Amino acid sequence: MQMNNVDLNGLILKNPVTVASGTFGFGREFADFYDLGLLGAISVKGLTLKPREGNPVPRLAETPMGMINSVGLQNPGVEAFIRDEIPFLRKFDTKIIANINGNTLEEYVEMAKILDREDVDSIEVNISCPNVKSGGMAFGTDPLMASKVTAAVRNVTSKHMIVKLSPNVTDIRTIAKAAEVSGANCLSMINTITGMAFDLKTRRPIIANRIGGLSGPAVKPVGVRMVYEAASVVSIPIIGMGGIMTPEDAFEYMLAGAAAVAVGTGNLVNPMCAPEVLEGLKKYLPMEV
Amino acid sequence: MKSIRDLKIVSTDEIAGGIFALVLERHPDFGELKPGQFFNLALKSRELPLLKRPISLSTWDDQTMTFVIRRVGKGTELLCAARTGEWVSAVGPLGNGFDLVPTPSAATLLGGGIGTAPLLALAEALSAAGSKVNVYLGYQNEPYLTDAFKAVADGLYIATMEPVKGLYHGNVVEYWMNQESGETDRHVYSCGPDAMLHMVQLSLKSRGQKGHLLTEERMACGIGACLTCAKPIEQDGEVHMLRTCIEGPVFKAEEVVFNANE
Repeated sequence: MQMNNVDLNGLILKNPVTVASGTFGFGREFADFYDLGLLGAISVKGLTLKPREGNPVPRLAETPMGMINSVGLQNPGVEAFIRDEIPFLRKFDTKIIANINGNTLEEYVEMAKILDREDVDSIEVNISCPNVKSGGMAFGTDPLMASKVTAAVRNVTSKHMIVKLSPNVTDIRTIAKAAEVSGANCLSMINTITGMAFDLKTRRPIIANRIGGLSGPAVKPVGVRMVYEAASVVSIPIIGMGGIMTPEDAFEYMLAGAAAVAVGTGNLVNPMCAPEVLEGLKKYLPMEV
Repeated sequence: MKSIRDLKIVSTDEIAGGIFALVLERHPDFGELKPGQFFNLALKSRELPLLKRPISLSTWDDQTMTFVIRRVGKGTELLCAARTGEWVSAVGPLGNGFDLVPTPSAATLLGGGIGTAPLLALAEALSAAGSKVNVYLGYQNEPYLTDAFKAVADGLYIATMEPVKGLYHGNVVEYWMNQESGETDRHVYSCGPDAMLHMVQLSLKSRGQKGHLLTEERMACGIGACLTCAKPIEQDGEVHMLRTCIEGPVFKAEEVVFNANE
């Protein structure tokens, strides 16, 4: 654990504080609030091969100490990301992590091939999105599928590769191990936990898609436990996330075995959350000379 | 410019049953404000709820900003119960707001319920820019903000859904349609529940009249990152999910797709 030169197995971050995919857009939304170069890395909004309009609304339900979302990977597609967003993000001294999502194994491979030629620092293979009909979480809840996707992406790119794990599994250790042996350089965890909330007046689910992904402080103990379990069986580094709102939350993830952390829902509550976590972490972590 | 600041509460006042005027100190970092913009607000000292609440600006002056809030759930309950001197965490100004260039020579404002509040700053701005402003306000049974509107409106028309002595009884959109049946060159601005905005949209279409709608949607961040407040908007024959907090909350009346889920 250290405050600088955080080595994620080939990807060196200047500090351990990153932001989680899906909570930070492509960074533009936060550039009004602070210098994005403060961050160790930015994981951009989940990308798909083609543009997606996402799910119907309502997409949001607030729950005790958390929120359920079902956005459904609304994004402009990987080509628009390359054309419009990479040049913007490159203006800041931070690492760019491209989060990729496929309906099929072939789509993951196709996106990885495209991004392999582009100026991104890491590819985050998202096998854990709960809000799409096909693909997504289906790849992240079965060790064999997780292994196949990881190996297939590894086969077409020499870039640093992160595999983002789903918490919606009975044993996170088997999935973590499968990703490691199949070529992941690093793991990120946890994605949202599937959840549901009803409107008592209408007697119907609040979210149009009925089931969504729960995030926020409510999920933090689950995330910490899963990072701890995964860290006990893999030797690759882990980016810990799930409900980090304070420097203490971040340090807790690191005590559980995370080498770096990501602020997610915290960004939505307080746009200054990530730099505040970074500042506060300094009293817990040494600077390596 | 968009900022997050802690603002001291100047005053809170229940102006009608369950409707509160929250006056906050205005911070210079927020810069220029536009009618139709909003802030994401939460009581600083809260433990729950997690998320801030998007609340439209009603009016402002050099020192203060006024938000009119309907007490709905936990977040608004805390804001409405807060006392002078307490602190509110505020992110803003957010959203596109109404574009008043060019200023229409005559405008009609249609507000429903708590949707009347954001139209107050608009009425003031239009009036100051020389526009002739007619205001139609619809309430369930208890009007509020009417004195403030009276001060800037050329004509003020109030309707209530339940009978109230001296006021038009019925739907405010029908009231407007009857009163201004021939005046289709007035620019219409409307804010209210979705059912009302949909009715305004259909009325404008049938009359060949132009207008803008101030819409709302559940949202988390208010700054365009979470994509939860997406709204189906039709432009150039294509429907796209646009962010209520960035590309909205004000849209051209004909662009908003209502009942998209049905």
